[in-house]
Amino acid sequence: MKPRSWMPHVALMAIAAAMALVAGAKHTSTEEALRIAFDGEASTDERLWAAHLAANRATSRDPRLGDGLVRAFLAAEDERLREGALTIDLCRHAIHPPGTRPDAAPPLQSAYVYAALEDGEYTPHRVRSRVLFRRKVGGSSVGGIRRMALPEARWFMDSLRGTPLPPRAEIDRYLIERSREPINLRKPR
Amino acid sequence: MSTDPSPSASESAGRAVARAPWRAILVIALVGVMLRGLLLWLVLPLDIQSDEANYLYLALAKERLGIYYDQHRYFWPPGYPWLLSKSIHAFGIEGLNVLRAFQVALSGVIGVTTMLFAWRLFSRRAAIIAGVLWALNLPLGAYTHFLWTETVFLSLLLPALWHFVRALDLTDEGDDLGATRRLLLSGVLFGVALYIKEYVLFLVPILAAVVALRSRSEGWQEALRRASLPVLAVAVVTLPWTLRNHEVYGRTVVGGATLGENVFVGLNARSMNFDILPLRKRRADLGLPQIETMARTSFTEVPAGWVPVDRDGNGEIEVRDAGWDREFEAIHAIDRHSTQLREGLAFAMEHPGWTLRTRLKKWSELVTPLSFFTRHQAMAMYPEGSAVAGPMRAPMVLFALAISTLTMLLGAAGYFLTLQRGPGRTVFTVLIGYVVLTSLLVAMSRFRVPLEPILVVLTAGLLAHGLRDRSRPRVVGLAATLLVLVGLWWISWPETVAAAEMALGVTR
Repeated sequence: MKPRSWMPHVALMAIAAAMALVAGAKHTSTEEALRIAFDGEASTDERLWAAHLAANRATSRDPRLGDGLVRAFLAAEDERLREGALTIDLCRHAIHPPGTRPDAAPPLQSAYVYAALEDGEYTPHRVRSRVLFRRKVGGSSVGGIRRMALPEARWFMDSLRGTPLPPRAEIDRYLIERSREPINLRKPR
Repeated sequence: MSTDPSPSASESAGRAVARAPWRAILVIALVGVMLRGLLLWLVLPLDIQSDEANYLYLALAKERLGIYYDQHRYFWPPGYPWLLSKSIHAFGIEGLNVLRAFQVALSGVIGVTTMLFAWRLFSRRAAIIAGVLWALNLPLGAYTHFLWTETVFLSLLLPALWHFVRALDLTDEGDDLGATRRLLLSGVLFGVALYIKEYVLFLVPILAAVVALRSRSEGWQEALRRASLPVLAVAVVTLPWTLRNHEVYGRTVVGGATLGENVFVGLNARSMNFDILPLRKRRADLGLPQIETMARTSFTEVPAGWVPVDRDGNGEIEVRDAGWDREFEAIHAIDRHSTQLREGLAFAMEHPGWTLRTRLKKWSELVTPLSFFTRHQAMAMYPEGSAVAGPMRAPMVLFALAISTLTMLLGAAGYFLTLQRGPGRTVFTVLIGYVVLTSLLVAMSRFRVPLEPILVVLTAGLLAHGLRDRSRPRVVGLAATLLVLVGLWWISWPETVAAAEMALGVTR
């Protein structure tokens, strides 16, 4: 390279142009993303990513996402897809009944997470669902309440690794204690 | 030491890096890393709190669902949650401690760069003193066991600044090829740093302007060629993330998007001090009055005639109720930015007196001698029965407070009376100005972290070489700075004392 050369600039611009071209070629339109998100034949990863695109490109709450897609995901067999319905993407599109408080949690996801326990025990999916829904960053209107704590994170990771969870009584005791923490002291924002 | 000549009237530019006292630098860096490792060992098992919990949520969601989600109010860059997700993927929940250990090792980069700066700006003696001050810098060292971005970010920011200063040196020496390489490397490091914190986004163009200004004697074309190198390098390194954001959000986001939320927090009626707020729960548990009630109200009280928004609609005005509310119609943080920025600026213009006095409060919070180490102690986050929470608690807290106070005082003296003209001084000035200006919205001791190594370098220069330049403008500059510093400390003195007492375990 010669001194005072513009070659580095040219090379950098070429790399940038190549990346932009690749990104352009891989672009998914919003209509296509919506189609894939609802497509029961598509893989879980494809549907989650498509929902991610559609939910974040929207400029206002979309009932197709906040109601239709949430119901579709929560009814799916794949636990990952059901858990995907509990993240910020679809929660921010939640459709509330008229007269609901502005900080009320998304109703469909709330009902799912707080449904009666099957066989009286916390399943790994149940624990993950609770963590993903309730410990998200963003406030109560999207389902988040109180920050993640270490025991929950440990159970979450244990659930992914197949390590048995603690008995129901222990989890219940923990959750009740956490629910008693005053929110406005813990979370100033 | 006797062979170490006192530096000349300008910075010691042009000294070959190979001649730096590498053996001493590496030994001291190793000692500093070992001390941080020892501290980590002493504080484990360590719980998480505040943003640590938020980073962990993002990492868990990424681990399970393969997607990096935004935070609704913020959109943080993905680097730190990504590191966390890789760590927990490989090691389970123990991955938190593995990341902490990684940060301990990585802090060696901060130590080495700090010493290199001291050597480059002053001398070998200053480098060794800077190394010792860095190794013993408890407020900075404690970040290695916090799951905050600071250690990883600093280990990228400082080398980026180092290569930038070296590029300016090489430009002055006429080594265009060397300068080009350093500018590129600096840009790449700034680009990687943007994946950790978007903080440096506007620093790079300012530094590019410095390059252009210093190159203007060689014509505008050469000035443009040099100045555009780091900017282009940053653009290319961050482009994959920018393109990904454009695909996901249909909007251009470089790094992250936190301005809107920071405006909501910073240009709103309520004063929020993040070195103090997390202490609320513990104070309530201990039956102590909340620290906000002790604040000098001239700098915190809400504007006259202010009508708060009851944000949760419960009919009670609480600490979270603000002068204006978040934009709820916008779907995510990126769209919320412009509206909240407008709202915040309108509020500030409507209440100019409030805006002015609360900005002084922000700066006061920036220079508070508190740190996240003392905050952790005040929150009783360190495990009961550990030495850090037991017999060593008070000495360590006092030491942390003293280190923060002294490096600010001595660093200011070093800046005015010891540091000579040159590229290093220019870059330090830009960084100090940048940190001070960006703290106008939201401030806390953590936002001072990018300056901590700089203060260490300046303190070391002063201790090594004393008052080298006592010219009138410099003495006046120092006197004015110290006056402002003491004034800013006075503003938040009641809160600082209350938080320090909690950190010390004195809860009267």
